[in-house]
Amino acid sequence: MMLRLILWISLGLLSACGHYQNLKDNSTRQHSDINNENSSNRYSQNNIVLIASPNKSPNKSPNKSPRKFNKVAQLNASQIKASPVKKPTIKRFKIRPAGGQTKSLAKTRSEKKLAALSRWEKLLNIFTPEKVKPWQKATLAKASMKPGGLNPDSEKFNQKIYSSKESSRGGLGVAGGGCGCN
Amino acid sequence: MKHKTSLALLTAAASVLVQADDKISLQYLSYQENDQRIAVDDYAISLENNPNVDHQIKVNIGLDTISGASPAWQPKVTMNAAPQAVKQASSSNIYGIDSAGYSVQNVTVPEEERSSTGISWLSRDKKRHELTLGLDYSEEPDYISRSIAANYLWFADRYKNRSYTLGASLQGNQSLVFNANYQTHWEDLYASNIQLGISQVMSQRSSIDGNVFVVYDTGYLSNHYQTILRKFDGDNDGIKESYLSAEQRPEERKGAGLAGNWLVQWTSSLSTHASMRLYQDDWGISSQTYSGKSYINLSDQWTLHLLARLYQQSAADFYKNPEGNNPEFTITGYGSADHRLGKYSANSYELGLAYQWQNMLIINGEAGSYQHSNGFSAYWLSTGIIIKY
Repeated sequence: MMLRLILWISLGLLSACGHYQNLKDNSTRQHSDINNENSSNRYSQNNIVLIASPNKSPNKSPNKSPRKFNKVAQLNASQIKASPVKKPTIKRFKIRPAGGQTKSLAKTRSEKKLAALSRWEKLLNIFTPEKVKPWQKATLAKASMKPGGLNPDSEKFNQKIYSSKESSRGGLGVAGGGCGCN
Repeated sequence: MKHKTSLALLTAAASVLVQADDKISLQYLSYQENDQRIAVDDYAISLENNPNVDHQIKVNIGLDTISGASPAWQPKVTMNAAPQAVKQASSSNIYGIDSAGYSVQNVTVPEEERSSTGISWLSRDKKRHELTLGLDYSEEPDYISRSIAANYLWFADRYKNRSYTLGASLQGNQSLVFNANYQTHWEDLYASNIQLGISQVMSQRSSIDGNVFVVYDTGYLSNHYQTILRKFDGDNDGIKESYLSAEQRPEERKGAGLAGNWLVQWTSSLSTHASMRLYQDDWGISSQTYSGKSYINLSDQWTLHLLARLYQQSAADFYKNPEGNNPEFTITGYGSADHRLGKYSANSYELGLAYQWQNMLIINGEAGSYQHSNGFSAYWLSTGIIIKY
């Protein structure tokens, strides 16, 4: 047990180290791509500068050496400010039906899709078995949740009537004697 | 190891909590068919005893009386003896001939009492798998039934959410029948049933179960009270006459089907049971049964239950409707005019109310109705008391 714990901790540490190394590598690669105008790297020079010093425009100092940007990695957490993220705008196509009511098509479609998904998930959930623990079966242990119901003897009366008037049998368990009702 | 121990302790605790109560149940049913046909009074006592969590014993004792009449072909005026040649040519008993013709009449059946008793013993092993053994015996003046049944249930997972069952039963029955001269003798018939089932807990509030089954009956499967008409030219005049004959069913029947139940507690006061069954046999009968039952807790003491059941079956290959255009059979071969072997649909409804006091006493009452599309109908009232101790 202890060995397994140590192994897990070691793996966690190794993984963390690996992640840090990746970050470092990314940072170095980004800085080396600064002068490459055709770079398709999404961590572009513009973004890095924005993070490091939002007041300075990269276009105004295109010839600065990459070394200065290495300071990005050396900045304290308090000095780093999140770049202002522009909220995506959703274009809503408005339909004006004959009745004069205004309806958002995009919203209606997404809502319908979500509702359909939700219904499907609900249906799937009903038929997907859960792992129910023995101490969670209080409801299932109730008489009303047993095949015979609250009163199995009354159910037997019913089955006796049906079996005496119908020509099929089986599927209701194997116990019980014949009544010669037929 | 510690986890396993905790789980075992919790499971044991849960088992103790859900251990069934010992109880005694007394029930009464009054059943009446339309047209003053069959009436039944049925009394049933059952005892359930759980000496410990590993064993359960159930004992059932029943007594019912049946009286009334049952429809069958009868001569309109008087019946004359059939020629010997007809009796020899026929594959079933020929009772006679009435030149005035025949009609379906309610034939009074002798009032009979039937007593029955049954015992079943359930045993659980260390893994909580269950073995149930049952013995039943019933007796009435013209019918004796003895049966033995065994059922094994085993759990497929450690949380006992899935279980499988395998069960089998065998009935050895004897029926007192009469021949063409109304002399009685005993005939044997056997009925067997094998069932394989699966049960799955779906959530804390729902479970489903299903099974496939095969049934096999052999022996004297006819009903000697039922009659048919057979056409035959007994006097060689080139015209076929109708003779009253006993019905004749095959001496073997093989059937199979599948059934399923879905039990859900939707809210703390509403539970529903949905059931279906499909059946097919080599007599040509296929049937579908769908039923829904709901339990509604009106309060802590009062529970209402509603039942709706739909049934549909096709006719047996050798059945002819006595009210049809061509009700006669040939002189040989199987034949029956029993409506129960015909094509019809049926629906049944039941309304019940139960009062529970202190988890010690339940008083129940039910009223039900049952209609066939062929005109048959019946209703019943039942009441009873269950005492837990």
